Amino acid sequence: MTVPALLLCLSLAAAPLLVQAPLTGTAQAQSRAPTPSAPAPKAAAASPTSAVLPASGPAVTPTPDSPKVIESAVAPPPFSSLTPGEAFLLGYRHLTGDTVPRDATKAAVLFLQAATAGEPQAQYQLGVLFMDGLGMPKDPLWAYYWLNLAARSPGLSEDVRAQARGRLQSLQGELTADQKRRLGIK
Amino acid sequence: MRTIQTHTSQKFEARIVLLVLVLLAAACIRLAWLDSAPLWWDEFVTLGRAKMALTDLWRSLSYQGPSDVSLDSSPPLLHTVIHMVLAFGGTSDAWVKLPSVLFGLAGVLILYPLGNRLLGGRSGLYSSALLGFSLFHIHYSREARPYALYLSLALCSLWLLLRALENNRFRDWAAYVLAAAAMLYSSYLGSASLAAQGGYLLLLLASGRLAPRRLVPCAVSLACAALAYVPWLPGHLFHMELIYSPTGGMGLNWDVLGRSLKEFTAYGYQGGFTFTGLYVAVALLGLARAFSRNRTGALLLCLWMGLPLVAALVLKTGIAVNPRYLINFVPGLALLAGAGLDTLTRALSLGLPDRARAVLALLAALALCWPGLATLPEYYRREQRPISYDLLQLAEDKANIEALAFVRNRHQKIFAQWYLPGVFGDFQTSADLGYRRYYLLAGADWQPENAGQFRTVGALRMRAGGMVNVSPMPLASAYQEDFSTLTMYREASSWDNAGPDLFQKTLSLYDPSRPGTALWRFNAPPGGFGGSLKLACRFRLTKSRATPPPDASVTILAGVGSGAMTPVATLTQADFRDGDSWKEELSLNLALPRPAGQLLDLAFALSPGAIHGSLEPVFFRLENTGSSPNANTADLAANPAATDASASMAATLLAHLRTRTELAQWRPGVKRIGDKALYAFSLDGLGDVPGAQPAALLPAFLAEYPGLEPVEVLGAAKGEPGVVLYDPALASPALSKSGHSSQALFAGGGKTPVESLVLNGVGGPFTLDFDGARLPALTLPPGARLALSSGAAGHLRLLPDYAQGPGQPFLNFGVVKAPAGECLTCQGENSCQLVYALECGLPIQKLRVQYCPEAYGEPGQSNGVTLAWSGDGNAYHTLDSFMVKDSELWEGKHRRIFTVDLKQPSRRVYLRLSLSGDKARIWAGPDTPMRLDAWCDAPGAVPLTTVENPFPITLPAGVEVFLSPRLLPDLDRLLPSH
Repeated sequence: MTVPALLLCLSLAAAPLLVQAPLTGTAQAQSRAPTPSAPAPKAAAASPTSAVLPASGPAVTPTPDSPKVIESAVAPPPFSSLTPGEAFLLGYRHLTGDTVPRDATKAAVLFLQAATAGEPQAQYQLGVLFMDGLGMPKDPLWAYYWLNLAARSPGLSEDVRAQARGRLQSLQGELTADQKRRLGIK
Repeated sequence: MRTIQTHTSQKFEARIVLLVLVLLAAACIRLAWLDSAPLWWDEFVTLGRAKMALTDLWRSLSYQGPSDVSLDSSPPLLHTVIHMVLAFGGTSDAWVKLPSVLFGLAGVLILYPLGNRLLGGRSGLYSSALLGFSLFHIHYSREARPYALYLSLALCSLWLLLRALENNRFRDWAAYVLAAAAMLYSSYLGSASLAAQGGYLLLLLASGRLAPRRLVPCAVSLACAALAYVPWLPGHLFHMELIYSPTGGMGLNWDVLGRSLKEFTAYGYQGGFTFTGLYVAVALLGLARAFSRNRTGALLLCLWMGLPLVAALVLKTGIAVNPRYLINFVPGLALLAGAGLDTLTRALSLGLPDRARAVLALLAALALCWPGLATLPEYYRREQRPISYDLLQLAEDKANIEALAFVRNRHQKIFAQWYLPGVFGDFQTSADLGYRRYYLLAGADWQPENAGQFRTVGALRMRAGGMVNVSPMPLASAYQEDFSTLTMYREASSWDNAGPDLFQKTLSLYDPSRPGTALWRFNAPPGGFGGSLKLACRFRLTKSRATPPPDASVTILAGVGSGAMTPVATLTQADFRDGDSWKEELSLNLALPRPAGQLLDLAFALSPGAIHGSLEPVFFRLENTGSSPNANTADLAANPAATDASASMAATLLAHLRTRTELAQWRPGVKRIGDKALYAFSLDGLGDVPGAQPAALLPAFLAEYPGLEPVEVLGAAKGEPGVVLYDPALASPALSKSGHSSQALFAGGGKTPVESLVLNGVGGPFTLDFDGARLPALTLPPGARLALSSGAAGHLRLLPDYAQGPGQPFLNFGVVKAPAGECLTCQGENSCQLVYALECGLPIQKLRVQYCPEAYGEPGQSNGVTLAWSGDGNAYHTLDSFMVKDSELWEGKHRRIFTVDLKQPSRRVYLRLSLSGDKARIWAGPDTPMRLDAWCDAPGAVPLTTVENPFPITLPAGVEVFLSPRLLPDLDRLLPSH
């Protein structure tokens, strides 16, 4: 190999150290529909499950930057007058386009508001949105986190919890070792 | 002397093809997003000169005066070239920079024959590539400053000198003289270059390599080039004198030299000296080859590179050395490194075909330049808080402010005239003596004392004010003007191209190349002008240190109100003592003929003369010695209007005022909008003044506008009846819920169309009714500004500021304020998101996002920010993904701009910023402005149907609205595109 060629190779090899070429974008929001649980009955909306974040349990050991952080860092929600149950129901209507324009981002805002208040159906839906990249960016870590909370919530029907467990199982394969470390799972 | 030329025609053609490719690449890099960085101060100095007439341009560059743009330390060639380019009608930043791009490319091109002639082989080709891809050279090829021009001419003169020495033909020597002379006129670095060429010829002579028949043309050519510079020599000496410091030095040391070498070889690279070392090593190899094959050529190159270095070592100046003063090193190193690459490829490429070897060497040249080139994407986006941002903000927020006044007759005036043509009026002439709202604009460097509270907008400071003109002035005993305030605009009867320079405290020419006049008209006191009229004036002559004293002049004229004026005295530089001081003052006392009538006109006519300079009034005092001996002249100076002892004085002034502007009747609970009307109230205690509203109404008025400052007080001194004038719409141009009004009066009565409106705040959906005209249901996201103007798209703007935190985005998932400054990050290592919802109730057609992401290059981990948009909230489209890895540096923090044309207009558009974790940030602050813009279809929104007066108006909480009978200025062109 000639010296110029060596020079070129050296330079090109070092180039990534200087400036990184932008990576391709994060996953696009998927158009496939989520797997919603059945809409919560009015009774559930009126008295949502009083699960308190952070959840404790063997599956998830909250890291310093997960649940509590979310709670403290989220700005005052734009639908703050709604109860968690109402927020979930309205969010679900936006997710499905039931009498309102279908808008997964608005649904995510409402689910986030309800989920941080402990509404398990909202936690499930939020996990699904993160898993499918609908309304929220696709993020297996946050999907796992919210679905795990929902799966362990006694306030959720067994059917939905089973769906949550199924999704958790498939997520296990997507998580990196570092994400598993952050989630406290093996 | 020996030159090397061993090319076959086939090789020559291959070289030309490769050279063209290099030039094309160099042109693309230099032209790409040429207007992405607006002009900065030094470029404006160039532009300010270039816009002058050619004769003024030339002279002004060797002159430091008060009434033009600031000092420019360059000879006039680039300014002249830009002057001619602007003559083609160019009005954009790119036009101003274009000559530098062309000269930069010329430099790249000339390096080819120069390298071949000096160093042989394919050195020229590789040198051209190295210079073409040098980010340092690219930078100066994109700036409206003379470095690219100088380099191209310096290289050209070197090449032509070698040609002339070889061929010894008249046309070669003539071309050399032209190039060398042009080089001298391009930069003060040119003299060092010419000295290097002279030194080279002396070396040839001393070593016996200069044939006797070449000696005479050499000497004559050098002499001609030097003689051609004689006309500019005074300017050169002026600048040398200006920077001379007997105890100073330029501070050249090894550290500076090392830093300079790094900039020349790896500009923009944040790492160590590895690449610089590599580049220099290749250049040293080239130097060794040069000495072995063409010793005299190598000496010429060393002299040319080294002489500026010697100059920086020995010159005693008050300025510190800057890498650009050693810019000869950039092409010099490229030449040597080109020879080094040629040597390497010849020695080590074994059996490769010749063309393949050339391509390989070019790729190696590209690799040598790669550290700088790799930062090009960030370089194009570099943020330097340009003045255009500040002016854009000023213009967007101006509401009903219509004119700009400047504290000094340069600086901000040039900026404003360039970036905001037609957006503001000015006080250049007295065509409109009516009431005017204005911004007094100052820079960060100076603002007048006692001129009120200035507000800071980036690098600008400004104060809003209202200007009434009360001329003609009553003259009881004395009147004086010292040009330290804007009172001239209040009291002079007419002016053209003349105004006060508050910094110099002179009456100066607005445009220094044209004559100007200012005229004061005085009313006689009751009983007429008595006794004699004495005029005391003081003038200042500001001389150039490099040219003869200016032959500018000032003529004092007097008249009796009939329009005809008689010259009373004329001052020129000959009237000043011929002292050494570059600034001299002269007092003049004159007796004016007493007018028989009731009016006296006094005018100053300023002529800029044929030589650029200044002779300006700094003070005048007109005394009517026949007036009451009890007159308090100090009071009179403070408030000349008080000279009239009669009770009707205020009424007289008010009557004058009424002919020029509308004096409105205040109605409790009704707010006037969209016009310039003033409220006039009599001051309490000494009786009401005819034409003004009763003093009894004033307390109720002030209760409705608490804290409102008067625009003007007429005739209130010495306990006489007075009038106070208020303009509530100056202090608060918009209607708001928190205001006092439930009714509004638009544009002075009758039916007037609302041509534009601006809404600020948060709320919606809401509707606005204007006397039957209804806007579509509107929505404003928190902190938004929505502008609707007849015939234009609606414009929604958000300016996030992260100094205090994320504010109120539509969705905040884990984003918090970062301690690093005006930026946000995730609270922990997990990802977080911020979503803005852009909506205004109208279909959005186009988006523009300007943001500043930053991320840490963590080993083995990608960190960064992803920007995506969605028109329906369901499907997101990635606009940008800024990710870094492994560098162990914080990278980015440069603006990134993206625009989206929505194929399907949407009433709500989401912008989502996803951060990978706490090693990613988004900035939004004064130095890293973030901006979200949306343009929406607003058919029929404006003009609204006319409104009856007064009309009820209801605004939602948190929303304020500004209505105008005029169109809003188009400011989109000030938004950078990249």
